Amino acid sequence: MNISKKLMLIVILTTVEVSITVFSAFEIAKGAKFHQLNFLHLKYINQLSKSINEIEIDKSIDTKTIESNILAIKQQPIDCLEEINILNKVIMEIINTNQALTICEKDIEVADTALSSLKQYENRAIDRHTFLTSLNHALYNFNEHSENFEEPIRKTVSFILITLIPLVLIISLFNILFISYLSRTISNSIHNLTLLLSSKPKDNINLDEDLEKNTTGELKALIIAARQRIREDFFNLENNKELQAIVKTQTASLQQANDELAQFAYRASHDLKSPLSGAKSLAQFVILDIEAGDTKEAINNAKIIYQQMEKLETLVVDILLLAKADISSEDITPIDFDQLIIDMKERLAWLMKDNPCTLETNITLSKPITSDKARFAQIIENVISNGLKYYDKTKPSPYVKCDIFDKSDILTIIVSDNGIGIPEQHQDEVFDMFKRFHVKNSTGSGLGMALVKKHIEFLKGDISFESSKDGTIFTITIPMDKQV
Amino acid sequence: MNAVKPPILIIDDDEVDRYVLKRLIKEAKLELTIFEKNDGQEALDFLNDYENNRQEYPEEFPPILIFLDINMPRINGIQFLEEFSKLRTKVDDIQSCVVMMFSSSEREEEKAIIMAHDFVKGYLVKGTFKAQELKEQVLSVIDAPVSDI
Ligand SMILES: Nc1ncnc2c1ncn2[C@@H]1O[C@H](COP(=O)(O)OP(=O)(O)OP(=O)(O)O)[C@@H](O)[C@H]1O
Ligand SMILES: [Mg+2]
Repeated sequence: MNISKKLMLIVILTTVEVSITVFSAFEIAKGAKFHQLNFLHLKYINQLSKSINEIEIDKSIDTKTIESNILAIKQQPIDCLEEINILNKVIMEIINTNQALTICEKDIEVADTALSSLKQYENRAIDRHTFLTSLNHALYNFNEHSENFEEPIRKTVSFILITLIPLVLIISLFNILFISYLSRTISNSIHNLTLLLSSKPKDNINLDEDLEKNTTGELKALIIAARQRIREDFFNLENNKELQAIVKTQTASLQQANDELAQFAYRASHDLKSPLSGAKSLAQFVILDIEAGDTKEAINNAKIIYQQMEKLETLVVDILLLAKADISSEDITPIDFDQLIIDMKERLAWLMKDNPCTLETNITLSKPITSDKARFAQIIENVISNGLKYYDKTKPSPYVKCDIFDKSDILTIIVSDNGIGIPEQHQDEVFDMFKRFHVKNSTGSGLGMALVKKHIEFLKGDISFESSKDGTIFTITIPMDKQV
Repeated sequence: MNAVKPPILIIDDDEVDRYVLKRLIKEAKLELTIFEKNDGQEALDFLNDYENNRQEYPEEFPPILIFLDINMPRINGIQFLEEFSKLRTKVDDIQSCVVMMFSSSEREEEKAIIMAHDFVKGYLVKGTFKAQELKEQVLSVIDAPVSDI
């Protein structure tokens, strides 16, 4: 039962209770009125008997006074009958006090008979004695009626008192109990709902189900509306949060890009400048040495200038490659990996000349690879050159091994060496620009791995490595079906 | 002249830059004992090994002037200055040692951090000065003999 029905029931019960109370009050008041009427009746009877006495004494009959007396007497039973309603009749029937009504009717009849004999007397249809006898007879009857009337009325009133008042009491009591019961159930369901809603989310995983089960009527409607509202608000909030998060990450990545660019500009300018300023000073020394006739020192310094210029050249080439790596090229051709390795070895001749490492390459491809050849060449060359550069002088047979194979549209390149490895604390900086951890072991601009990373990102591939004092393994995977 | 040649330390990872600086010192006719270290870490190891070096170079340790590069692997110039300022409070002899920056870059924010150390006495930008300028700079911070040949 929903709350509004419960409240409606309370209202109905209260109305019934009040109506019964008012009804009984009326009935009791009616009883009092009947007594009053009976007194009036007796009073007029008394007047009539006085008039009759006077007639008997002085023999003259004042028909006018007699008539008004009788009419006055007749009025009370009429009033009485008018007061009585159906309910009264039923009650009186049940408790057997309806003779009061019969008495009233008889009283009226007696009055009417008296009035008709008065008429007859006036018309001289009956004589004075007969008239007086009938008057006395009526008087007697009136008296008797008045006397008999009291008893049923008293009985009826007391019946109303002893039945209706306890009834009212019982209904009131029931009403009180029922109202408190209903208000308890209402407040209980609100309380339960509050408990459900304030329970911790983790204690209550199926809140929705529980709410469904434990609420009815208006509360259910309230909960559904509230939940809908909260969801909408929450959704808006989430949207807001999402936007904020997007802005935040974008700002962060912009900031990072900015920082990287600043770092790059700084390192690039530094690394470009230092061989230049070195060469500049050395050139001056060469002049001085030649002037001083120290050709040996002059040749030495000229050689260093040459080396500086070579360094500068590779750096410029590396920076250009790095810049180009971001731009997609249209040079998509079938790649001949064997030829690619031969070309690479030629370019790395300077490095391989006095290098103790053995370089072993295994290429097993199930189908031709078509992609941007330059990117693949640079990836493989950089990773292999690192293996050759950072070999371990203390190990007996240094090697660099390169395996290239494909499996279900994924090209894998694995380059492993038994070199000095990448120091653990620097392993997360390997792909950063200008980071070099073995300055003494070999020269370089520190851009190789950054370039490799860029190419692999461009090809939507992945690069990872494992490195320790025993050596390093780079694993590169490139999905060939994602190449355009 | 049998005066002791005051010891200095050059900290730079670039061999060419070290050579250039040594050449300029020679040209300026400054009579100095030159130690060279490849980076901040090597230099700190050298300075920390106080007792041994004191024995090995009784007259030439510790150096009284350090030429310091900024961009170096492992411990760079700025990090070196941090460590060096701690070291100065610990070892009395090192307190008189001053630093002259020797770098190819001149970034303002870096320069502010560097010059905040009161023992940094000058800032030379690589390739921008001649022997004469170097001489003046060095003589303004240390008392070094100049050969007359
Ligand atoms: N296979 C390896 N074994 C040991 N160290 C490595 C290896 N590969 C890279 N490193 C370390 O990572 C650093 C960065 O490598 P990267 O190829 O980017 O620069 P580089 O080889 O120094 O210079 P560049 O390749 O630009 O000429 C290297 O300086 C080296 O310290
Ligand atoms: Mg490399």
